[in-house]
Amino acid sequence: MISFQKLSTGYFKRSQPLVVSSGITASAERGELVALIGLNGTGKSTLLRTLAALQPAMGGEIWLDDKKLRGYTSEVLSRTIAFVSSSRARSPAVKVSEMVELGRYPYTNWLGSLTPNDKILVMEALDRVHALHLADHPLDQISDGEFQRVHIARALCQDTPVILLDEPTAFLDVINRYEIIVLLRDLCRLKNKTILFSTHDWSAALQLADRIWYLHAGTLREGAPEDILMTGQLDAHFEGKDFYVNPETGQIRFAQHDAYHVALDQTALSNSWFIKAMKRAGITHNPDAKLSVSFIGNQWNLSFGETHSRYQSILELISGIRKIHAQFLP
Amino acid sequence: MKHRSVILFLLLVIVLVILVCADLLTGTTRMSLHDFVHALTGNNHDPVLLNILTEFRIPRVVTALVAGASLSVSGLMMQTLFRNPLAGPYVLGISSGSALGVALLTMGFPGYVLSGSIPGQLNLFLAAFFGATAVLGIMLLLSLRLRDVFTMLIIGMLLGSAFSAIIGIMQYLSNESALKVFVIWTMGSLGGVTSEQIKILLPVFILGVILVIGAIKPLNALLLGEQEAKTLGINIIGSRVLLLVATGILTGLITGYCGPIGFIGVAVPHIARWFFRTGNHRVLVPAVMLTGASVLVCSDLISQLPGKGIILPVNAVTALIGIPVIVWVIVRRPIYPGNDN
Repeated sequence: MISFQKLSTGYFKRSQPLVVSSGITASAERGELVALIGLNGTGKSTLLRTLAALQPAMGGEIWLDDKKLRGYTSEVLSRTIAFVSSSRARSPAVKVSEMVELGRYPYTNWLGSLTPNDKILVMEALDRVHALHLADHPLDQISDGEFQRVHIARALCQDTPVILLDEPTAFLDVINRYEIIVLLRDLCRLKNKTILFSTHDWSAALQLADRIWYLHAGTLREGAPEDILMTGQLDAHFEGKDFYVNPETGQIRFAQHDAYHVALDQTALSNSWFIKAMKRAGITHNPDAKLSVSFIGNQWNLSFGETHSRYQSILELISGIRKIHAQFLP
Repeated sequence: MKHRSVILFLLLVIVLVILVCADLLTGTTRMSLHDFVHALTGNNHDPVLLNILTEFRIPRVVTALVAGASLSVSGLMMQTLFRNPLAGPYVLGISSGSALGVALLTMGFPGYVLSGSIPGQLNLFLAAFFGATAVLGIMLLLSLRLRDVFTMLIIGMLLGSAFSAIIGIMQYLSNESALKVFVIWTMGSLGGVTSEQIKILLPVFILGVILVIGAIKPLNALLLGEQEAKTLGINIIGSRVLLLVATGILTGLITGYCGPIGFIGVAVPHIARWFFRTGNHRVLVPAVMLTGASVLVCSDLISQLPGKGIILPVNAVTALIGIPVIVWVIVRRPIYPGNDN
C-alpha cells in the first residue's frame, strides 16, 4: 500500500537542509498495523509528516500502491491518507460530532455541507471508537483518552485506506493507551486499512503491531516484532543499563544488582510472588547469609541472629530487610 | 441546523429590530413613534424630521450595524486563524495598524483625502485596509514562532503603543492643514459617518462578507490545526491569504471611517459561542455578525443615554461590555503557555 526507497527526510533550518534520516527503505501492506518506534529525536514525526506530504522528502521516492506520492493532488491525497498529529489543541465550544464531521470535508462542497449519508458515517465512526455517547459534548469537557478516540473517529470518517498517527498514546493512562492500540489493530483487521502510528510504548508495539519500523541513528530497520527481537536489534539501547527487552514477550524488564543476601527456606522459595519481589528489589538467595526468611501461617518471618520479626506483607518484609541491612550489614 | 440555533437566530433578529428602532428614535431632537412612522411612510411632510432621519440617524444606525458585524466577524476569523481565544482586531494591534495607515495618508498626502469626495473616502479606506493587513501579516508571521496566547497579546499591545508613538511624532512634525485633516479623522465615531461614506461602506462590507462566507470551510478545517487541515485537502496558504484580506477589509473599513472601536471583536465571538454552543463557523459567522450588530447598536443607544446632547464615546461603552467577557474567558478557560502545541 505504502512504500518508499532510499528516502531521506528532514527539514530546512535557516535555508540549510537538515537531514534527519537518509536512504531509508520500508513498506506497509493493506490491513497491517505498523508501529514506528525509536528514541526521541530519531525523526519519527518527520517521517510521518513526510509520508503525509506535509513536508517534502529530501530525497528518494514514496509510493502509494503503484503511484508516486508526488503525483497526487491534495484533493486525491485527502481521500487516501488521513493524518492525526500529536497536537492536543482543543478549540473552544467545538462539539465532538462537529470535529468528526470535519473528516468528511474531502467529500463536501465549498461550504462543507454534509449529506444525510455523511451524517450516518459520522455516527458510525463515533460508534466504532465507542464514543457515540459523547457526540454532543464540547471538546473541552472530555478526557484525553476520549479526545484521542474522537480524533481517530475523525480520521475514520475520512474513509482513507491509510491512516497515520503521531504518538496517539502519548499522555494517556495505561488503560486508555492499550484501548487505543487495540482499537487501531481492530480497524486494520475489520476495515483492511493500513495504519501507521509512532509510539514510545515498545511493549505494546512489539506485542500488537504486525510490522515494526525501527528508526535508529538515521536508518530504518523493518520487520515483524519477532524479527526485531530475534536479531537483537533493540539490544544496543540496553547495553550497560539495568533494564532490557524480554525477547519472549517484548516487555521491558528490570535487572537488579545483588544488593541484599538472604537465606530463604523452602516456604519462602516456593512463594512465586516473593520470587518476583526479590528480582525487583535485588534480593539474592544465599544459604550462608546472616538474614533468613520463612513464610509460615500467612506471615513472613525475618531472623537476624537472636532478633525475630513478623510481617503481614511483602512490602513490610522488604523494608525490614533493608533496615537491618542498613544498620548491621554495611 | 438544530432547533436551538433556529430559535436563537429568530430571537436575535427580533432583538436587533427592536434595538434598531429604538436607536432611530433616540437623539438630540425628540421624535415620537408616531412622527417616526409617518416620516418613514411619507405621510408627514415635516422636512426637518425626514432630514434628521436620512442624513443623521439612518447613516448612524447603518454604520453601527455594519461596524458591529464587521469587527465581530473579524475577531472570529482571527481567533480561529491564530488559534488564540483572545485575538481580536483591537487587542492584536490591527486597528492601530489601520490608524497608522490613515495617519500616513492624511498627514503625508493630505491632498488625497478631500472630505466628502468619493475618491477621497476610498483612499481613506484603502490606507486603513493596507495598514490593517500589514499588521495582520506581521502578527501571522509572529504567531508561527510564538505559540503562547498571552505573548501574542502583549506583542499586539506593544505594536499598538509603537504605532501610537509614531502617529504622535507625525502629528508633531506635520503642518497645520494636514494635522487638521487627521484630527478630524480621529474624532470619527458611529455618528460621524456621512451618507457619502455609507456609499462606500455598504458595498465594501458586502464584499468582505462574501469573502468571509468563502472562508467558512477552511475556518472549520483550521479548528483541527493546520497540519490536519492540510491533509483534509485545504489549501493552507490560500486560506490564510483569504482570511487576511477579509479581516483587513472589514477591520480597515470600520477603523477608517469610525476610528478604533475596541473589544467588540474579541468579546462577541465568545458571547455567540456561548449562546449557540457550537464551534461550527457555518452557524457562528451569521450568529457572530448578528450578535455584533446588536451589541454595537445597543452600545450606541447607551452612549446617548445622558441626553441633552451629551454623547458618550462609544469606545468607552464597548470597553465596559467587552472587558468583562475577556476576563471571563481568561478565568474560565485554562490557557497554559503553549496550550495549543
